[in-house]
Amino acid sequence: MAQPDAAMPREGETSTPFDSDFLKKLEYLYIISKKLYRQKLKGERRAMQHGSSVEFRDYRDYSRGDDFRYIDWNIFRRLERLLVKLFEEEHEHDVTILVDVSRSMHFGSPTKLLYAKQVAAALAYISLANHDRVGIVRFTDQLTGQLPKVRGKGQIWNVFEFLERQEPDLSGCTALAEVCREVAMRARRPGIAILLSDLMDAQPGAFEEAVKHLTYRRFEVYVIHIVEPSEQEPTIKGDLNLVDSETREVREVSIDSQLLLRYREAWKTFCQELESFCRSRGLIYLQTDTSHIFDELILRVFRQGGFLE
Amino acid sequence: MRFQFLPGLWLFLTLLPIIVLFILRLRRRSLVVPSVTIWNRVLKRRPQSALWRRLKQLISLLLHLAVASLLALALARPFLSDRLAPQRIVVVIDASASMTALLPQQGGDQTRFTRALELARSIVADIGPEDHAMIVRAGPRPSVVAAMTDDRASLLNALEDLSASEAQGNLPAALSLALAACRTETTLLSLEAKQGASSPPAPEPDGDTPAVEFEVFVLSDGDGRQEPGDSSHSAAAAAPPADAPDALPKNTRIFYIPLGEAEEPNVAITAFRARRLPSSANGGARLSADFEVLVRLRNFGPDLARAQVELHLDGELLDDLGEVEVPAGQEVSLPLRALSLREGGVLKLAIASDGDALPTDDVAFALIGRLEPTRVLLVQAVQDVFLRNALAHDGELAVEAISPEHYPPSSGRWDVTIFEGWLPPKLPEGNVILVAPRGQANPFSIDEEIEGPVVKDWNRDHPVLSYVVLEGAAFLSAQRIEVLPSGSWSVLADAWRGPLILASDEPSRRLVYFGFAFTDTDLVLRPSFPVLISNAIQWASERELSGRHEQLRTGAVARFTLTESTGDSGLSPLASVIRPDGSVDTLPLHGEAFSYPHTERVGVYVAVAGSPAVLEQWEGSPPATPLTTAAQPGRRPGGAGGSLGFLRSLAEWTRQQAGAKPPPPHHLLATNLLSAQESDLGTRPTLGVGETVLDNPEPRFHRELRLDLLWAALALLALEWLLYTIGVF
Repeated sequence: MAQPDAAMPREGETSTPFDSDFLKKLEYLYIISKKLYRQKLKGERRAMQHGSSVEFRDYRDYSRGDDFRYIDWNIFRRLERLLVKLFEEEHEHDVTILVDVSRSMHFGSPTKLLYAKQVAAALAYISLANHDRVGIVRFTDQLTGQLPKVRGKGQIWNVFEFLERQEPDLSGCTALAEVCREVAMRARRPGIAILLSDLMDAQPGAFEEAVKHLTYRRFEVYVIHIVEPSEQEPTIKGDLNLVDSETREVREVSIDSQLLLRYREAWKTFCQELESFCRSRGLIYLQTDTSHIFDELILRVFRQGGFLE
Repeated sequence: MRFQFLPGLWLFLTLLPIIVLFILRLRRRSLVVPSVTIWNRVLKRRPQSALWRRLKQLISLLLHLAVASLLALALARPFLSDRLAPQRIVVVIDASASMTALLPQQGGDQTRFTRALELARSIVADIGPEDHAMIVRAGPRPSVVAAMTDDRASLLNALEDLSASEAQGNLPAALSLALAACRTETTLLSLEAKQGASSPPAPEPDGDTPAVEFEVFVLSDGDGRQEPGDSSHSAAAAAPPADAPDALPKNTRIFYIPLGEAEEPNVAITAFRARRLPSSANGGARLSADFEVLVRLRNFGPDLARAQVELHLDGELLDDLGEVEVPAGQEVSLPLRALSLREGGVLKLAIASDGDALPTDDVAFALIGRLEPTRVLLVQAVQDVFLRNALAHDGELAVEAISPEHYPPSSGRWDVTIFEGWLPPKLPEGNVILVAPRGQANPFSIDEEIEGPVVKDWNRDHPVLSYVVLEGAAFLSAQRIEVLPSGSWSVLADAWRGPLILASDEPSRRLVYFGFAFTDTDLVLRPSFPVLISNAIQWASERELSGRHEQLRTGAVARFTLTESTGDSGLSPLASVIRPDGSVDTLPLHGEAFSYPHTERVGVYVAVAGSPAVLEQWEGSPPATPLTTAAQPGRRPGGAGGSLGFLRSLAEWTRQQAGAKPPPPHHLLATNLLSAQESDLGTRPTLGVGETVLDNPEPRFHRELRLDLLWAALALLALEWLLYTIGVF
């Protein structure tokens, strides 16, 4: 969790996050995902609207003006009722990946930012491979960079290049609410919003407000909470001045085992609040720490969280 | 506020490291963390301003300094006291027989002595942390039962072990002892002050600073009312005049707490004697003889009293003398009774009267005769039939007469040796009576003689001249004796030109010197002559000290004589003294006689040759268990039997042995109070030594603050813990 007086990038950690091994893992993940989920030409994810695909969804009573072609005559012959068949509408989706690059993301080993970039790259690869449009937004207390939406598997190299260029903003605080509000406002049509952050916003209720902005624009929101092990289980002790890496707020503490116990309880409560809030909104909340092996995360944690249907 | 342990204040130096550590603690190590959001949740505090943070730190420092200061103060043992100076308290507890009198207002359960102990306990319990106290027991011989100490527990323990005597007390001597202790303490404190010792400060004669104060508490009934003109036994005698070199120490006050009432009913035995009638003193072996008993009673109470008088022999009622009326303040002598009594028995006189406050003087003991005659060796160079006849008619003597040519005899032990008209080259050890001696061993150089000396005066109070009348006695001549003032000789009968009869009481023996030949005086024709010879032998053979009738006042030093030693084992011989209550004292026996001072109880003391272990040898043939039982040191054999029970067992044992085994060598002694001073229970209102009379000791205010300070330190620690650990701040 803590690094003495330095939130500076470590050399070599971010220089080549997407090496050949990483690419092999991505290809493996893609194959697995293809086996798990059959995809259609017009886009791989089912939209909420009823459409004209061949995938049957439901019946409804005929009403004036409906297309006669969709009347189920077999039903009419048996039941003498006019019912119209409904079909799933399938189309391509916009996937917006929001990557937190604030100073607090530059903690841990590997850093939370590096971990977030790898997760973002994997998600972008799978999405592009499934014919979705993928855009990446980096933010601190504001939007500080953006990869315009791209489509096609061949665009993955642009994604990698964009992500590789992302360095932590050492002066940046986290302002989730403002950032999400801006993303929601700029979006032409709602899609999938994947938030990769440690959610360390000093403003109380900022996370909830941010999620509200996105869901208001009918975004499907996936929250991936990236933590480092020492945040959950701190090992520091003694009389310390704890300096907030973003706000520079100093908290004078005398840490003993009792206080550490209370910290763990507070941390657990904090995470439970986030998860219960997401669950109450029908959103997907996943917590992962940087010690998890990356490919396992994609296959196990993402599937457990229902991220890939 | 004063401190008992000033070096404890050095603990204040710990404030410096606390301050240093606090300054070091202020410079906390900084640690950058991703966010303090969770820490804020844990500490439930809003971010603090720098001013508040500094204020909180300052409060913490002050709390720590306060705790350290309180601990330092507690270590120095501070206390509050209503006294300006440390106290040195001497508690004099009267342990005389009169203190065993019952207090009527206490329902008869409490005696003056137990009340005195209560008061002493309250005084001791009230001493402050800087104060010291000592306890003096004013018995027949004053003694310090607890030396000057500040250990309250040891003082209270000493009081627990304290008991009243049944003897006449010596309050003036006890008061002198107390004042001497005050002077000694003053000197010691001065020396300590000169040597740079710490508290308390020594008394300064003219200084204004408070010095050590001395307080002497006398818990007594005043040793009875003082007779007009009698100052010999006055407590005032203990206090020297103010201008004397050994005047009362400065800052010394005497408090007298009188115990008892001015008038209390008490009928006491003032005289009790059993004397063998001359008609029965015919010598030879005999089992019984005729005795007459002298009894005198005195009523010390304010009203006429009726006393029931009984006479017991060896524990059995011998004679009921009936009820005797004793007018208030009067003394009554009972008619002489002639009784045929068994020798060696113990006669006990007991009286009982309504409301009698002092039981100690209601009983008295007397011993009947003695078991062994006095052995006398007579060495005569002249034909003196008068002396021979006088000795022959004393039935309590075993006399062996030899001429100078046969001196010294081949064997035999003698209580008294009489040399008449002759002296050996060297006087023998032991008691000697010299009659007109001639020779080199004469203690006086006789150069000339006095012709026709006339008796000028004689010491009528001396035992040798008791009942002897020398007036008109005619002497043909006498030796002219020069008595050195520094010598041990005292003149008993004096003539115009020199002494006629002298006596010397040396530590190892006694001598009587007659400066005239018995054949040169008509004294031998008078009735006083056999009395004089008998008295001289009695006194010289030391029988008078322990008493021919073996009777002493309680508290007097007894002298026991045991004729046989038990040193067969090669170890130092021992003697055991069985007290009236049955407890046993064991003493080393050097020679045949030894002194025994612990005669504070009324009753019969029995000295037995041998230790308790040796006494067990005599239990070979039953029934001898009482001997063994009596011989246990510290035990009270036979319960209420005591020493009398032991004597009964001894008599029974001797009877059953029927001569097979001799009884153990033993010596009896009866002790009685027989003291008008103690029997007069009137409490003296003052002692006359400039004391302050109190009803009760003044309560003192002492409060040790150590516990309060420790509690305060604990409270501050709890406050600090509450504020900084629990997280109120």
